[in-house]
Amino acid sequence: MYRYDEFDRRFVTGRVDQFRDQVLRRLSGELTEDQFKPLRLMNGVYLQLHAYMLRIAIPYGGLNAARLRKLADIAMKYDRGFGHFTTRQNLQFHWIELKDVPQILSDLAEVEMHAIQTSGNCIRNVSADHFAGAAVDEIADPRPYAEILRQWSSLHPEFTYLPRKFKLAVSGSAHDRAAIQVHDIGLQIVRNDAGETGFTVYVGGGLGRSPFIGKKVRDFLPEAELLSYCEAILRVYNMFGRRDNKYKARIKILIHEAGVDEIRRQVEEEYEQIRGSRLTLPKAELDRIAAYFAAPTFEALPDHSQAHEQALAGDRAYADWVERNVSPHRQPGHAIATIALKAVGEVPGDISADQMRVVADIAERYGHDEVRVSHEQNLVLPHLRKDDLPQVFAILQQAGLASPHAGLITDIISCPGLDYCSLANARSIPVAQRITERFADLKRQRDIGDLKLKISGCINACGHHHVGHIGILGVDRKGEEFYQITLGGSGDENCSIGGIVGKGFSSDEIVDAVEKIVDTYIALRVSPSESFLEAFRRVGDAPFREALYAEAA
Amino acid sequence: MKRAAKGHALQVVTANALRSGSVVFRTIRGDWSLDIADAAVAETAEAGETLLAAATQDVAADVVVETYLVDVERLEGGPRPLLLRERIRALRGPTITENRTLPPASVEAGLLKAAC
Repeated sequence: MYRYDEFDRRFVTGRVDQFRDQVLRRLSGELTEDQFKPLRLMNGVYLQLHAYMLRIAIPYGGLNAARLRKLADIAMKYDRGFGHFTTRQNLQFHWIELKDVPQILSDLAEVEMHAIQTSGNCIRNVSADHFAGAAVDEIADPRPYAEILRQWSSLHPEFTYLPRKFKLAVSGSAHDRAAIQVHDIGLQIVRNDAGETGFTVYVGGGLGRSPFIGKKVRDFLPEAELLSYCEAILRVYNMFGRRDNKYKARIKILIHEAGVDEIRRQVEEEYEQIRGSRLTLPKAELDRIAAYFAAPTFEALPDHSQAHEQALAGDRAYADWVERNVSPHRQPGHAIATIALKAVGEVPGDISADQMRVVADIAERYGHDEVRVSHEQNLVLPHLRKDDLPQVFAILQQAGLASPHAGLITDIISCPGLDYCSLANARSIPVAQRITERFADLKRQRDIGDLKLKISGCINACGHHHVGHIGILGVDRKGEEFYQITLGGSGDENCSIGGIVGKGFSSDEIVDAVEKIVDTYIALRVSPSESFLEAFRRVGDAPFREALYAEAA
Repeated sequence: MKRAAKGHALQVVTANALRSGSVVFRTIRGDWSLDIADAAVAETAEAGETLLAAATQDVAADVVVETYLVDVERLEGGPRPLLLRERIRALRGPTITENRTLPPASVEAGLLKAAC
């Protein structure tokens, strides 16, 4: 994990002091709300439906025990004893009082955390594959590059007032777990024929009211050119991105309107001016940053673990959990465990302070002090010994954290929706809860197999519904909550935007509609091994449309 | 989405408290309450505008932020907003149970100790 140097520490504590003064001046009336609002947003403080919300940056989703415990302390002291993990691998507290924010930021700085650039028209928290450094299919660890991008983009003077927010993601594996193609810049680590590391660069992906898949602008960008090229992209965007209409201000719209070839030409032109200058990454600096993310010292173990095998044979609950929540690790005898934060009836992404502490304890004792937040609103223990898995499972189970449904229909991404968010049109969480209850039977879920269901409470699409195999979008229809369904979306390397299947459903109808879609899939799949997405791509939406709307026709 | 109330007969004024961010309602006493039952109800559009203008002075006084009118109907228990968004705000919290996942305090200590 990256450790702050003296510069980072001074920078973050300086920022906390500055904001403390700004809050004091606001509370005393020296600053008006109009003057203060942009300042609080630059520090991650939103005013939501019921209260202030604080969004804390978790760069590329990296946590350790100390950070988790600090978040737990803050949850208990300043919030209502829980936090909410987001699709940008961040954490939000829903019930913060403005007067407490400076102290919270000061507490966070103790564990090298902050809330800078979690809002506003700047480069946001850089996200990355949550299996980084552990995945068997990894070409290179994406975190050093994400960290370099974080350092470059933190308070970058040229990019502090962009036309709109800007999001970057990095994937180090061919299988994209970081949804890079729906980011403003998506970086896929690749190796060329000469064995050199570089990036395939996608630009202009995004969700929201105008969803677009990123356009490939470079097949291979040498790693040393990472910042030069990103700077060139940002410069072109900063210069030509629309500032007249916030709904058309993202880079995806610029690319859509000007065409990718024209934007690529401009980026390459700008890049030619920059390349080979101060932004070229020196090898020594790359190595210095990479050293922070060096793999822990793994024990040399056989891949076969007696304890693990015994538990698999003797404990059905453990075997179920392993089947869905445990992934292979690149180091023999080790495994990656996903902690799904969506047990039946729970709020997707929510975790209590006590649960944070349990995960912190496990990470410290069994997991090389590493925890990751996934963009799917789950936690990941990336480095566990297989020998320890049964014990880890038992602890998670006691803490209500061993729900064995990673990647299944109830592993739902959901935004906070109208229960918390001032932008939402409809509630998301209760729909997610009712779907988990309807599909609570694990046997049935496993029979359905891999299925990504994602819910957003408004067109801003924080719940990534466009890339859900089944996506649900909450809308307001004459004062009533209605839900549109999209089918066939996917956020991985075979990215696709889901298509609206037909007219929306009322809150009372939506869970039945999801069930009809699932039953239709079960009836038409070639075999149980044909996933929902594969089946949908084979047959299109006609059978689903017919099932949903036949009676009305 | 927040929508400005337009000419509906019954309206109350809402805002968020500056310090805490809490949802508050303008009362007939000219102060603010967390409970919509205490809200002053304007019965005409003009009365609504008058109520809003008076309440908005508290924005300048740094007591509240984001004052606006909310359409309501009058029920036995007090005013009830017509829009779901405002009904949820008036609940002082989400429609779901928060933090159900809190495990018993013994878990952490107990099991980890057993494991160590």
